[in-house]
Amino acid sequence: MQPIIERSYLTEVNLGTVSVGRTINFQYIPELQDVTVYGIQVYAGEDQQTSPNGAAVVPNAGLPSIAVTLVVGDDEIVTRQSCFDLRSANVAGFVRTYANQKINLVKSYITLVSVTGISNNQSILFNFIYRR
Amino acid sequence: MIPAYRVTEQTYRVDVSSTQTSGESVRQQLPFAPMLYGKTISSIVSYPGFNGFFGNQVNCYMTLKNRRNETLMYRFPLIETWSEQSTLAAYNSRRPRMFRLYDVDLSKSYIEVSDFGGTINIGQPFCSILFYTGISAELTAKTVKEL
Repeated sequence: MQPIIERSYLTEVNLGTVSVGRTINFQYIPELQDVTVYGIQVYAGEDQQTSPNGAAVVPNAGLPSIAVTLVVGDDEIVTRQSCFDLRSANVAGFVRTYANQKINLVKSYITLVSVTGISNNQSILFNFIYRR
Repeated sequence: MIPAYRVTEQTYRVDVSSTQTSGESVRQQLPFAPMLYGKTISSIVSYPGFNGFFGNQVNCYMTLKNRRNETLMYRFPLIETWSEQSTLAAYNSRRPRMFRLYDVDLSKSYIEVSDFGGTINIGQPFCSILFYTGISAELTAKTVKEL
Protein backbone atom coordinates (compact mmCIF):
# COMPACT_ATOMS: atom_id res chain seq x y z
CA MET A 1 0.00 0.00 0.00
CA GLN A 2 1.33 3.40 -0.93
CA PRO A 3 -0.32 6.16 1.06
CA ILE A 4 -0.78 9.63 -0.36
CA ILE A 5 1.21 11.83 1.98
CA GLU A 6 -0.80 14.84 3.17
CA ARG A 7 1.35 15.75 6.16
CA SER A 8 4.37 14.19 7.77
CA TYR A 9 6.43 14.74 10.89
CA LEU A 10 9.87 13.32 11.60
CA THR A 11 10.62 12.66 15.24
CA GLU A 12 13.74 11.35 16.90
CA VAL A 13 14.05 9.09 19.93
CA ASN A 14 17.49 9.03 21.51
CA LEU A 15 18.42 5.70 23.07
CA GLY A 16 20.60 7.16 25.83
CA THR A 17 22.36 4.37 27.68
CA VAL A 18 21.22 1.11 26.12
CA SER A 19 20.18 -1.87 28.23
CA VAL A 20 17.89 -4.81 27.59
CA GLY A 21 14.28 -4.11 28.52
CA ARG A 22 14.67 -0.35 28.71
CA THR A 23 11.68 1.62 27.50
CA ILE A 24 11.80 5.17 26.19
CA ASN A 25 8.68 7.26 25.63
CA PHE A 26 8.12 9.54 22.66
CA GLN A 27 8.27 13.22 23.37
CA TYR A 28 5.17 15.40 23.29
CA ILE A 29 4.73 16.86 19.83
CA PRO A 30 1.90 19.41 19.55
CA GLU A 31 1.56 18.89 15.78
CA LEU A 32 0.78 15.20 16.31
CA GLN A 33 -1.91 15.68 18.95
CA ASP A 34 -5.42 14.59 17.86
CA VAL A 35 -4.33 13.83 14.31
CA THR A 36 -5.06 10.74 12.28
CA VAL A 37 -1.91 8.73 11.63
CA TYR A 38 -2.06 6.40 8.64
CA GLY A 39 1.58 5.63 7.93
CA ILE A 40 4.75 5.16 9.97
CA GLN A 41 8.30 4.82 8.72
CA VAL A 42 11.61 4.23 10.43
CA TYR A 43 15.01 5.23 9.05
CA ALA A 44 18.31 3.48 9.62
CA GLY A 45 21.85 4.81 9.58
CA GLU A 46 22.15 3.57 6.01
CA ASP A 47 19.38 6.03 5.03
CA GLN A 48 20.29 8.98 7.25
CA GLN A 49 23.69 8.84 8.88
CA THR A 50 23.14 11.80 11.20
CA SER A 51 19.88 12.83 12.83
CA PRO A 52 18.73 16.47 12.63
CA ASN A 53 19.97 16.87 16.21
CA GLY A 54 23.40 15.54 15.28
CA ALA A 55 23.19 12.03 16.75
CA ALA A 56 24.27 8.89 14.92
CA VAL A 57 21.28 6.95 13.62
CA VAL A 58 20.77 3.29 14.57
CA PRO A 59 22.03 1.05 11.74
CA ASN A 60 19.77 -1.41 9.98
CA ALA A 61 21.40 -4.30 11.87
CA GLY A 62 20.24 -2.69 15.13
CA LEU A 63 16.59 -2.18 14.17
CA PRO A 64 15.47 -5.71 15.21
CA SER A 65 16.66 -4.80 18.72
CA ILE A 66 14.08 -2.03 18.97
CA ALA A 67 10.33 -2.57 19.23
CA VAL A 68 7.67 0.11 19.20
CA THR A 69 4.41 0.17 21.16
CA LEU A 70 1.71 2.56 19.97
CA VAL A 71 -1.12 3.69 22.22
CA VAL A 72 -4.56 5.01 21.23
CA GLY A 73 -6.27 6.56 24.25
CA ASP A 74 -5.01 4.18 26.92
CA ASP A 75 -5.02 1.07 24.75
CA GLU A 76 -1.93 -0.42 23.24
CA ILE A 77 -3.01 -1.07 19.67
CA VAL A 78 0.43 -2.03 18.41
CA THR A 79 2.49 -3.94 20.92
CA ARG A 80 6.22 -4.30 20.51
CA GLN A 81 6.30 -4.23 16.72
CA SER A 82 9.81 -4.66 15.36
CA CYS A 83 11.19 -1.40 13.97
CA PHE A 84 12.99 -3.44 11.32
CA ASP A 85 9.65 -3.94 9.54
CA LEU A 86 8.90 -0.22 9.54
CA ARG A 87 11.92 0.67 7.41
CA SER A 88 10.78 0.93 3.79
CA ALA A 89 13.99 -0.49 2.36
CA ASN A 90 13.35 -3.70 4.33
CA VAL A 91 9.83 -4.16 2.98
CA ALA A 92 10.31 -3.65 -0.78
CA GLY A 93 9.95 0.12 -0.57
CA PHE A 94 6.48 0.07 0.94
CA VAL A 95 5.22 2.31 3.72
CA ARG A 96 3.50 0.49 6.59
CA THR A 97 -0.02 1.83 6.85
CA TYR A 98 -2.35 1.91 9.83
CA ALA A 99 -6.11 2.24 10.02
CA ASN A 100 -6.37 5.98 10.72
CA GLN A 101 -5.37 5.88 14.36
CA LYS A 102 -5.32 8.82 16.76
CA ILE A 103 -2.09 7.84 18.43
CA ASN A 104 -1.41 9.06 21.95
CA LEU A 105 2.26 9.72 21.39
CA VAL A 106 3.29 10.57 24.94
CA LYS A 107 2.06 7.16 26.10
CA SER A 108 3.68 5.38 23.18
CA TYR A 109 7.20 4.08 23.63
CA ILE A 110 10.03 2.01 22.26
CA THR A 111 11.48 -1.04 24.01
CA LEU A 112 15.05 -2.22 23.65
CA VAL A 113 14.47 -5.96 23.34
CA SER A 114 18.21 -6.55 22.97
CA VAL A 115 21.34 -4.44 22.58
CA THR A 116 22.64 -6.18 19.47
CA GLY A 117 23.67 -3.65 16.85
CA ILE A 118 22.82 -0.57 18.90
CA SER A 119 25.05 1.76 20.90
CA ASN A 120 24.69 4.43 23.55
CA ASN A 121 23.27 7.78 22.44
CA GLN A 122 22.25 6.63 18.98
CA SER A 123 18.90 7.87 17.75
CA ILE A 124 16.08 6.20 15.89
CA LEU A 125 14.05 8.28 13.45
CA PHE A 126 10.29 7.85 13.04
CA ASN A 127 8.31 9.55 10.30
CA PHE A 128 4.59 9.85 11.03
CA ILE A 129 2.32 10.32 8.02
CA TYR A 130 -0.93 11.92 9.11
CA ARG A 131 -3.89 14.11 8.29
CA ARG A 132 -5.89 16.58 10.38
CA MET B 1 -5.72 -1.93 -0.88
CA ILE B 2 -6.75 1.09 -2.91
CA PRO B 3 -4.39 2.04 -5.73
CA ALA B 4 -3.68 5.70 -6.32
CA TYR B 5 -2.90 7.85 -9.33
CA ARG B 6 -1.30 11.21 -10.04
CA VAL B 7 -2.01 13.84 -12.66
CA THR B 8 0.75 16.32 -13.45
CA GLU B 9 -0.22 19.87 -14.31
CA GLN B 10 3.10 21.73 -14.03
CA THR B 11 6.60 21.03 -12.85
CA TYR B 12 9.10 23.40 -11.27
CA ARG B 13 12.70 22.65 -10.41
CA VAL B 14 14.50 24.38 -7.57
CA ASP B 15 18.28 24.33 -7.05
CA VAL B 16 19.29 24.51 -3.42
CA SER B 17 22.63 26.24 -2.98
CA SER B 18 24.84 26.29 0.05
CA THR B 19 25.94 29.36 1.95
CA GLN B 20 28.54 27.32 3.81
CA THR B 21 31.44 25.24 2.55
CA SER B 22 30.89 22.39 4.99
CA GLY B 23 29.82 21.71 8.50
CA GLU B 24 26.82 20.52 10.37
CA SER B 25 23.26 21.68 10.85
CA VAL B 26 23.09 23.77 7.70
CA ARG B 27 19.66 25.32 7.14
CA GLN B 28 18.89 26.63 3.69
CA GLN B 29 15.72 28.56 2.89
CA LEU B 30 13.98 27.63 -0.36
CA PRO B 31 13.40 30.41 -2.89
CA PHE B 32 10.02 31.93 -3.62
CA ALA B 33 8.47 30.09 -6.56
CA PRO B 34 5.48 31.94 -8.05
CA MET B 35 4.55 28.90 -10.13
CA LEU B 36 4.09 26.79 -7.01
CA TYR B 37 2.55 29.46 -4.77
CA GLY B 38 -0.71 28.16 -3.31
CA LYS B 39 -0.67 25.08 -5.51
CA THR B 40 -1.14 21.44 -4.57
CA ILE B 41 1.99 19.30 -4.81
CA SER B 42 1.42 15.77 -6.08
CA SER B 43 4.98 14.57 -6.50
CA ILE B 44 8.55 15.47 -5.53
CA VAL B 45 11.76 14.19 -7.10
CA SER B 46 15.23 15.22 -5.96
CA TYR B 47 18.51 15.13 -7.89
CA PRO B 48 22.20 15.63 -7.07
CA GLY B 49 23.66 19.12 -7.05
CA PHE B 50 26.72 20.56 -8.71
CA ASN B 51 29.13 17.99 -10.14
CA GLY B 52 27.17 15.20 -8.50
CA PHE B 53 27.80 16.60 -5.07
CA PHE B 54 25.66 14.99 -2.46
CA GLY B 55 25.31 11.98 -4.71
CA ASN B 56 22.53 10.83 -2.47
CA GLN B 57 20.15 12.66 -0.22
CA VAL B 58 21.48 11.20 3.02
CA ASN B 59 21.32 13.72 5.86
CA CYS B 60 19.04 16.05 3.90
CA TYR B 61 15.67 16.94 5.46
CA MET B 62 12.98 19.15 3.94
CA THR B 63 10.39 21.13 5.88
CA LEU B 64 7.53 22.26 3.67
CA LYS B 65 5.00 24.87 4.75
CA ASN B 66 1.76 26.24 3.40
CA ARG B 67 0.75 29.87 2.87
CA ARG B 68 -0.60 30.07 6.43
CA ASN B 69 2.83 29.02 7.71
CA GLU B 70 1.50 25.64 8.85
CA THR B 71 3.96 22.79 8.58
CA LEU B 72 2.89 20.25 5.99
CA MET B 73 6.00 18.12 6.19
CA TYR B 74 8.50 18.44 9.01
CA ARG B 75 12.00 17.23 8.26
CA PHE B 76 10.90 14.89 5.49
CA PRO B 77 14.00 12.89 4.50
CA LEU B 78 14.85 13.68 0.88
CA ILE B 79 16.05 10.13 0.36
CA GLU B 80 12.36 9.31 -0.04
CA THR B 81 12.18 11.44 -3.16
CA TRP B 82 15.53 10.51 -4.63
CA SER B 83 15.49 10.12 -8.41
CA GLU B 84 16.10 6.77 -9.96
CA GLN B 85 19.47 7.84 -11.34
CA SER B 86 21.00 6.99 -7.97
CA THR B 87 22.01 3.65 -6.60
CA LEU B 88 19.93 4.66 -3.62
CA ALA B 89 16.84 4.13 -5.75
CA ALA B 90 17.06 0.73 -4.12
CA TYR B 91 15.87 2.45 -0.96
CA ASN B 92 12.25 2.63 -2.00
CA SER B 93 12.46 -0.07 -4.67
CA ARG B 94 11.42 2.50 -7.28
CA ARG B 95 8.07 3.07 -5.64
CA PRO B 96 7.64 6.82 -6.02
CA ARG B 97 5.99 8.53 -3.07
CA MET B 98 2.71 10.32 -3.69
CA PHE B 99 1.71 13.56 -2.05
CA ARG B 100 -1.33 15.75 -1.57
CA LEU B 101 0.21 18.89 -0.10
CA TYR B 102 -2.22 21.78 -0.27
CA ASP B 103 -1.54 25.49 -0.58
CA VAL B 104 2.24 25.30 -0.64
CA ASP B 105 4.50 28.33 -0.12
CA LEU B 106 8.08 27.44 -0.94
CA SER B 107 9.54 30.65 0.46
CA LYS B 108 8.46 29.60 3.98
CA SER B 109 10.06 26.18 3.50
CA TYR B 110 13.63 25.08 4.04
CA ILE B 111 16.17 22.26 3.74
CA GLU B 112 18.27 21.14 6.68
CA VAL B 113 21.49 19.18 6.27
CA SER B 114 22.61 17.46 9.44
CA ASP B 115 26.10 16.76 8.07
CA PHE B 116 27.49 17.60 4.63
CA GLY B 117 30.18 14.94 4.88
CA GLY B 118 32.32 16.85 2.39
CA THR B 119 33.26 20.29 1.14
CA ILE B 120 31.18 22.37 -1.21
CA ASN B 121 31.77 25.79 -2.69
CA ILE B 122 29.49 28.60 -1.58
CA GLY B 123 26.73 29.14 -4.09
CA GLN B 124 26.97 25.71 -5.63
CA PRO B 125 23.74 23.73 -5.51
CA PHE B 126 23.99 20.65 -3.31
CA CYS B 127 20.68 19.28 -4.44
CA SER B 128 17.95 20.00 -6.90
CA ILE B 129 14.29 19.36 -6.26
CA LEU B 130 11.57 18.95 -8.86
CA PHE B 131 8.04 19.69 -7.67
CA TYR B 132 5.00 18.49 -9.57
CA THR B 133 1.69 20.27 -9.12
CA GLY B 134 -1.53 18.39 -9.75
CA ILE B 135 -3.74 15.80 -8.18
CA SER B 136 -2.99 12.67 -6.24
CA ALA B 137 -6.04 10.63 -5.45
CA GLU B 138 -7.19 7.17 -4.62
CA LEU B 139 -8.32 5.24 -7.66
CA THR B 140 -11.98 4.38 -7.23
CA ALA B 141 -14.70 3.33 -9.66
CA LYS B 142 -15.77 6.99 -9.83
CA THR B 143 -12.28 8.33 -10.60
CA VAL B 144 -11.69 5.62 -13.19
CA LYS B 145 -14.79 6.87 -15.02
CA GLU B 146 -13.57 10.46 -14.77
CA LEU B 147 -10.12 9.61 -16.07
